[in-house]
Amino acid sequence: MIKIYHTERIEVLKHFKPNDIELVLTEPCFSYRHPMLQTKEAFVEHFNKARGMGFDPYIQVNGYIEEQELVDLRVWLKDLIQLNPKGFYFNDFAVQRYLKQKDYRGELIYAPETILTNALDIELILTQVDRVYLSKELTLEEMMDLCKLFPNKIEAFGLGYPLMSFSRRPLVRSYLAEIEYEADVLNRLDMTIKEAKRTQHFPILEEKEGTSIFIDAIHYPKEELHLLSDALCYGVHLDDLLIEEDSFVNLNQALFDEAKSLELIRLDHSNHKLGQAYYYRKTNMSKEEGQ
Amino acid sequence: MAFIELLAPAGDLARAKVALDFGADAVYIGGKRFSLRYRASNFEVFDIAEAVEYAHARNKRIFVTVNMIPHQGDLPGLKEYLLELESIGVDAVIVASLGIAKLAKHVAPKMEVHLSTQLSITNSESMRFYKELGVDRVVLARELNLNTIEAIIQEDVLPVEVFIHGGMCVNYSGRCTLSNEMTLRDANRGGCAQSCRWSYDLHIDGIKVNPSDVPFSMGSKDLMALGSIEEMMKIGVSSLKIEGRMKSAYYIGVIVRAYRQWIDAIQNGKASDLLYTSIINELKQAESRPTFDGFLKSMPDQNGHLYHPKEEGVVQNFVGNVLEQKDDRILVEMRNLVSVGQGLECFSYHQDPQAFSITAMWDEEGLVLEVANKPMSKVWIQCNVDARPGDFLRKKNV
Repeated sequence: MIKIYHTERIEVLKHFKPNDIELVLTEPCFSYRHPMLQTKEAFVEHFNKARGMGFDPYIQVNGYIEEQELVDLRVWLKDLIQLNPKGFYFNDFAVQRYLKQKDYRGELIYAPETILTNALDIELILTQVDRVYLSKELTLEEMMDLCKLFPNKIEAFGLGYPLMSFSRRPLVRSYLAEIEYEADVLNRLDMTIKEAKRTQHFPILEEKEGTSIFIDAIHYPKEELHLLSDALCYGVHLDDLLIEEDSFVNLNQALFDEAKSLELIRLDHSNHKLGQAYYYRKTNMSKEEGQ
Repeated sequence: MAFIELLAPAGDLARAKVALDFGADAVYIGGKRFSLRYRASNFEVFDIAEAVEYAHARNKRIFVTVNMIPHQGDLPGLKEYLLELESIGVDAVIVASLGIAKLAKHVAPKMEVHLSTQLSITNSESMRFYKELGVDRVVLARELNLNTIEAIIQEDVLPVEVFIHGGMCVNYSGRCTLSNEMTLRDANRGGCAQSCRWSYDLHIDGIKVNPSDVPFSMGSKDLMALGSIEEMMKIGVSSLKIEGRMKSAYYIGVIVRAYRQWIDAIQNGKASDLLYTSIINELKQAESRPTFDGFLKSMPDQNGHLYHPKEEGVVQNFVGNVLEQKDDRILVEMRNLVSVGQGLECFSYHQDPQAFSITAMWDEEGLVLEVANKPMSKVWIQCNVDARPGDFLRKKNV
């Protein structure tokens, strides 16, 4: 099973061998969740550095492209193709269509949030792309069943803070304006929200493209990865967003180290909450059944 | 000016009829399966069939939401359901799954397929892909402004439907799982707990920054796009959609009638500032939350949010439904307290609102009442205006 690593921190790559992982870099012009990289130039430099270190990166374009942005998108994709990435991850089919129109021959992976949940959709979408990235909101059993139905065509979330929601609105800036609190909150990685009756602190990231909110526990399927592998899942995504460099490197190594137990890892990383997203949580509860 | 469809929601057959009677060109409803509101649905297939019959007799249309984002275990029976909907004459299904869209076109080709706002469609190029799948219409993302909507329409790929009134998701629709995490109720399978409207503390660098009396919230004000309807008609929007399958019959009646009046006035060259103000006041009669114009004119700022929950006033002026009319009395199913002397207004689709005052009331046994204060009780009210079964009563100018 392939390890697919997302990062904006090029220096972290020194901890990885190019043959061990695939690398995904999120471009900053038509995407969100890129708090460190803001310009085309910085992205290209980042990409080339990774290439210089022996990696063959994929590029992620995960935004919701608005009509007036299509012209710029088309031009930017042409530039990105010139970088000769191994493939593209995308959310909006406009990206896929433009890449096809430009006769792009690399890999295409459909990677929307939340909406890829069943075989009917996957079968249809696989007629258009090479692979798909499953919704994080599925149970482990549901994921394994789908992986078995489409061997080596499905990717899944493997490590990182799972995204809960994405709003086009500047939720934090709007609120701070309401309470007349001055703070520069754009691209900050140290903000959380806590619901009044709950204890969890959910990370919240505000960018110019919108506001992302994440589950409070790092998804860490230490004891389940082999099951996904046995089900012929193509690869798992490892995302270091919101995790300090050292912690991420250690958590990642431990995730694939058979000698390290989850119990021991929890002890070593007691400052991090480790969870299993929806692997064992069914979410089709009624109002009476739910929490 | 070309025809523009006014599309209204309905949570049951009675409300579907209200929406059609009050001026909707089409109504969207959800059945007991595969719909985001399936848990609350009152539509058995035979109810949908009756709604279709009622609509078609008036040259109007019925759309059925099949808009959950299904997990594999939710899919059994889908094909049969689509066939059933087609067989009873449903005009279109609204879907959020591309697989369901393709299946619907294949097994039930007489029905149109409309793509839900759950897919967050924001450009014409992705619409070309959806068109190749056989999709007939798209419901655009609510995050678009009027210029973007116009630019999409100019590409002439597919007819577009735009939300004009009602509750707003604060996140891209279909991409929000706050409810899944916090309550195990899947927002994409009909379980949304509206966690965005709850109160939160905001911490920056570990420090709580919100005052305790104004908690952080993501709750959005409701959309109210009356001021953009004329422009939407000019740029070629095909359908104007009202949100609210969970809303009351009275709400549906008020909102539909108001937009119907305004659309007709624009089409007939009779739109005026006076009428606009009067319709705005009418819309306020049914508001459950403060409203704003969404993304249509600019990016929402703090004025598009609800940070002070106590300000969410539900207008309590709805009195009840007229069930029966006999001589100078009407039998009313009561919703809110009224007393003799109270000014009322009879609100209906067949005439302008008619005002009168309560001069006498009786319970069903004929006992005289000074106050009617039992919700759902049936009360006879003396009435000197043309009030008919199906009309609504509300307090006047409260």
